[in-house]
Amino acid sequence: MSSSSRAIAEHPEDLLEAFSLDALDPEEELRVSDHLEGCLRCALLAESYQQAAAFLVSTVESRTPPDSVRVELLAAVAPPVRPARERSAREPLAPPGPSLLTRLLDSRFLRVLTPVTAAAAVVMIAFALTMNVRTSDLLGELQDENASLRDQLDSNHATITANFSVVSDSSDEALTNIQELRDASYVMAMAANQSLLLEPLTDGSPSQGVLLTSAEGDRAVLMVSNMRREADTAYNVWLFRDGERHWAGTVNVDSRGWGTAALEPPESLSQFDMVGLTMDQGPNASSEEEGLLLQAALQVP
Amino acid sequence: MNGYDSLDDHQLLARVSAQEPNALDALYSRYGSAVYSLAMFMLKDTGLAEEATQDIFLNIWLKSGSFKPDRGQPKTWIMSVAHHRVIDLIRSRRRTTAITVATDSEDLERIPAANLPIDEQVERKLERERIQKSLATLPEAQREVIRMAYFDGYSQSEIAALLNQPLGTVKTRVRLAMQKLRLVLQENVVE
Repeated sequence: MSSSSRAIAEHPEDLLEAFSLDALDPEEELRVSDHLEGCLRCALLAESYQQAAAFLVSTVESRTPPDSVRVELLAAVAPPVRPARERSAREPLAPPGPSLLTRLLDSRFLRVLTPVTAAAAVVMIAFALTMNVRTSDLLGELQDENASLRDQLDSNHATITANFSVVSDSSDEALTNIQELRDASYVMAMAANQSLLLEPLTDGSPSQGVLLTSAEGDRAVLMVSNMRREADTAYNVWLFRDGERHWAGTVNVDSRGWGTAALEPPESLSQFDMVGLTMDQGPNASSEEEGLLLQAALQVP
Repeated sequence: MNGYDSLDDHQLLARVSAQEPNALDALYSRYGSAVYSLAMFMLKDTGLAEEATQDIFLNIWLKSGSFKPDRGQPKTWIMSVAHHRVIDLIRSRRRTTAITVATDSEDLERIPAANLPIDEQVERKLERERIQKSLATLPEAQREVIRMAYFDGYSQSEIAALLNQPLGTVKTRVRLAMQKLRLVLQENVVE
C-alpha cells in the first residue's frame, strides 16, 4: 500500500485536535493534510476543531492595524502599471524603475507574445525543414536525371566516334581505291602501252586477262574477267624468270569475277619470262606452273 | 462604497479568488483587526505583527482559490491561514534566537481597539467573555497546553519537554481540551 493510500485508509482522528492548533510535528501535519485532501468526513471534523480554535482569538484584546498596512497591501495587489495621467501632481516621482527591457520582459504582452512567437518559430522551422527536404528530393532527382543524360551523351559520343572511325576507314579505303584506279587510268592512257592477253590453263575456262604495260616495262595494269565468282576473292600476280616466281601484286575481283590492279614490278617486265595468276598461293610453290589460272609469255621489247 | 460590503464571506472570497483588489480590501476590513490582534498577541512586536498581517492577506490573495466552501467557513479558513503563518514566524524566530521563554498570555497588556464602533467593541467584549468563560470550564492543565500550543506556537513534543510531562499526557490534554471547547462553543452558538 502506498503512503498516499495509507493516509486515506487510516483516519487520523486522534490528531485532528492538535492539527487545529498547529501543534503537530511536521511529519504528522503532512500526513493529516494529505488525508484531509481525500476524506470529507475528517475534513469536516477538523474544520469543527479549527472553528473552535479560531474562537480563541476572541480572548485576545482587539487591536486595529495602522492604515499603512492596508495601503501597502492594496499597493502590492494593484495592477503593476498605472497610466501616467492618473498620477497625482503631488505624488513624488517614482525612483528610477526597471529598464524598458525589464518591464517589457515582465509585461503581459510579452507573456502572451512569447508562446505565440515560439509557436510561429516552430511552424517556420517545420516549414523550412519541409522545404529543405523537398528541395533535397528535387536536387536528387535532378542529379539522377543529369547522370542519366551524361550516360546517354557518353554512349552517343562513343557511337559517333565509332561510326566516325568506320567512316574514316571506309574513306581511306575508298581513297586508296580511287588512287589505284587513277594510277591504272594513267597507265592505260599512254599511247605507247602494249597489251598482253593472259589465257587460262584449263580448257573451257571462260577466265581471261589483259596486261597493259608501259613502254619501259616499269608499270603495268592487269584486268581480269570471268574469274571464279566469289566475292572478295583475291588473286596473286606473279612474274617468272629462270624458273623462279616473284610476287608482283594482288587483284581483287567482284561478284561478277571482274577485277583490276595496278602493278609495280620490282624490275622492268622485260627482265621476266612470263606473268601468271594464282589463287592464294605464296611464293614457295613446288613448280612453276602449279596453281596457275591465267598466264602469258612476256614479249616486252 | 463599491458594493463589496454587501457580499457575504463566501462571495467575497470568490471575488478575491478572481483577483479583485476591492474584494481583498473589503475582506481586510472585516478580518484585518482579528488577524492583526492575533499576530500582535503572539509575536509581541508591532513591526512584525504589521508585516505578518500584510503577509497573511497576500497569502489569502494568492491561495483563495484553494478554499473549499463545502468544507468550512471562510472565517475559519482565514484565521487558520493567519495562525499557521504566525506560528511559522514564531518557530523561525525561535530557531534563530533560541529564545524559548514562555509568556503568559494573560499578562499581556491589553489595549482596546481603536477606530471601532462602540457597538462592535461591546459585541467583541461579550464574545471574549463568553470564550473566556468556556475556557474557564477547562482544567488548568488543559488550558495551559492549549495556551502554549495555540498562542505560544509550541508543538505537543515541545510542550511535553517544557512541562517535563510524557508526550502521551500532553496529547490527551490537548484532545480533551479541544473536544470540550468545541462542544461548549457549539452549545453557546445554539443558545
